[in-house]
Amino acid sequence: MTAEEYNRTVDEHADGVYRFIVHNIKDKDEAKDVVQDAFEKFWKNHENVQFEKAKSYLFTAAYHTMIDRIRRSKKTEPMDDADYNNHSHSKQYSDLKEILRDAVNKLPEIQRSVVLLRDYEGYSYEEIGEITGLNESQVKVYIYRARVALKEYIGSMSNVV
Amino acid sequence: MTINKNNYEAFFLDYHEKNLSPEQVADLLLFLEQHPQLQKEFDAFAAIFLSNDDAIVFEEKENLKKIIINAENFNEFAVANLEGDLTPQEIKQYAKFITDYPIYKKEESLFAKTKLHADLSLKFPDKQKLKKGKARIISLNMFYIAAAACVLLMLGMFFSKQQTNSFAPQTAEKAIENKVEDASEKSTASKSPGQYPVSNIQSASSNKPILNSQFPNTNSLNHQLSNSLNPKSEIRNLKSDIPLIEPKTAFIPEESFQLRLKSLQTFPVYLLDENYAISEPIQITPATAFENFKKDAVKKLEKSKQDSDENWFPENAFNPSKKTRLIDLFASAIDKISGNKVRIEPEYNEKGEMVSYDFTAGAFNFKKDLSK
Repeated sequence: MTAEEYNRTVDEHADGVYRFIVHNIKDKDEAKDVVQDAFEKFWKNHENVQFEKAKSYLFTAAYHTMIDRIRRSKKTEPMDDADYNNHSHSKQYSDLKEILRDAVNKLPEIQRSVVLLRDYEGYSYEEIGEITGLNESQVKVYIYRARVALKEYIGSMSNVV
Repeated sequence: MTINKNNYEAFFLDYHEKNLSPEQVADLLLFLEQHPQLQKEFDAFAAIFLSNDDAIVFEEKENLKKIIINAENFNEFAVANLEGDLTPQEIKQYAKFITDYPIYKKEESLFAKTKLHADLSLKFPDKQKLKKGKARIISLNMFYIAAAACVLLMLGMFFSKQQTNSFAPQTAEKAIENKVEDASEKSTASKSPGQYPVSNIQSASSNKPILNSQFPNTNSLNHQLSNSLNPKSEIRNLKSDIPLIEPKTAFIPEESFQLRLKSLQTFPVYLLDENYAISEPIQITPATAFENFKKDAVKKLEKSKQDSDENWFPENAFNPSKKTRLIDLFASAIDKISGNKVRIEPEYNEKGEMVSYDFTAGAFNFKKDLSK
């Protein structure tokens, strides 16, 4: 990939990678750092990456950088299902978008990542598997669990809105 | 019908196919006892029947079955439908299920709401910073070369500053004062009043700087400095040893200067009163302006004579610890580049001459004896 193509990748994918990370770690400054790290890794290796594979390479680099940072800062969550039974109804929601955002934040990190990649970027199970290092069946299972958890959270909150 | 030699084969077959009544089986067994030569033929009938092997089963039987949507597996169908994983036939089946059981309509609508939509207004703020020019990677060697260049530059600046500080006053204000003082001293010493310092102007009469003839022997000065750099040496009375003359200052006779001033045109100037307020501009000739400046200079000169010696003596004329600081600076620069702790320790003899130095960088150490 040429430097020009690299710069095009910045224009086309920096926002997407940033959105993906910022929704995962909820800290804009840290998300910026992760994106910059990912692009640095990408730049170091840009001559070996095809332009068509750039997006996938970037998301993979960003995802792993994010996981490393989360682990370093000991913010890891257990990879099991989200516990929506203890959620509080004290919070006031104005619309579904807000409920959904809250629900996504409550998902375990791996479920959140796969569902964000699926919905935001439209990645296939196989591509999500490549990015996250899971196999296709695991991706399916995590997406299924995430959807059911989100549905239940929205269902329980729909009367509150 | 009773068994006999003409029909026993039929009985044998019926026996193995379990078609005989208990009485007929008893008759058959009695017949075999009476005719033991037929026993072998009777046993041979058993071998021609194939028994069914129940142990062999079709293991993927379940996969052949069509999954019927029900309350237990509804979520799986709903998620698969949302993800676009259902076949056209399954989509029909799913739609029919929801039509048949309207209670699942709400569930389906809740699942539909779990689809996330990216907030496109959220953008990466420093995209331009991520962009690169032409691919140009600075090698590690280049880094070291650059670092070495920085060190040399720093050393150059240090020496330059040291030299300037040894001779020149610290501030511009001090410089002006010293020029006035120098002028006063020179005019007194040479008994030729009317000479004024003008920076970087050559003598109008001789057309060459008179710097060298009026300055002390520079070799002698250097000798004094190099000795004084030794921190162990006695600190001299610098005030009396080192003359305070700005090296780039030259002097021209006042007559020539006045002639040049008169040839210049008048110009507007803004004068400051006692309170530093700007008054209206006045037209003034260069000669008048010069006279005004001269008066100010004389006033400053008189004032400066009242000050103590410490006040007019430049603080930075000489600092005996500078060589030590230079060594420290050099050591710290190597320290920064190499990442190792670097120390250089000079040793001096009784005369104050450096006789050796000890160089330590991390685990590496050597001592250089300069006396040999």
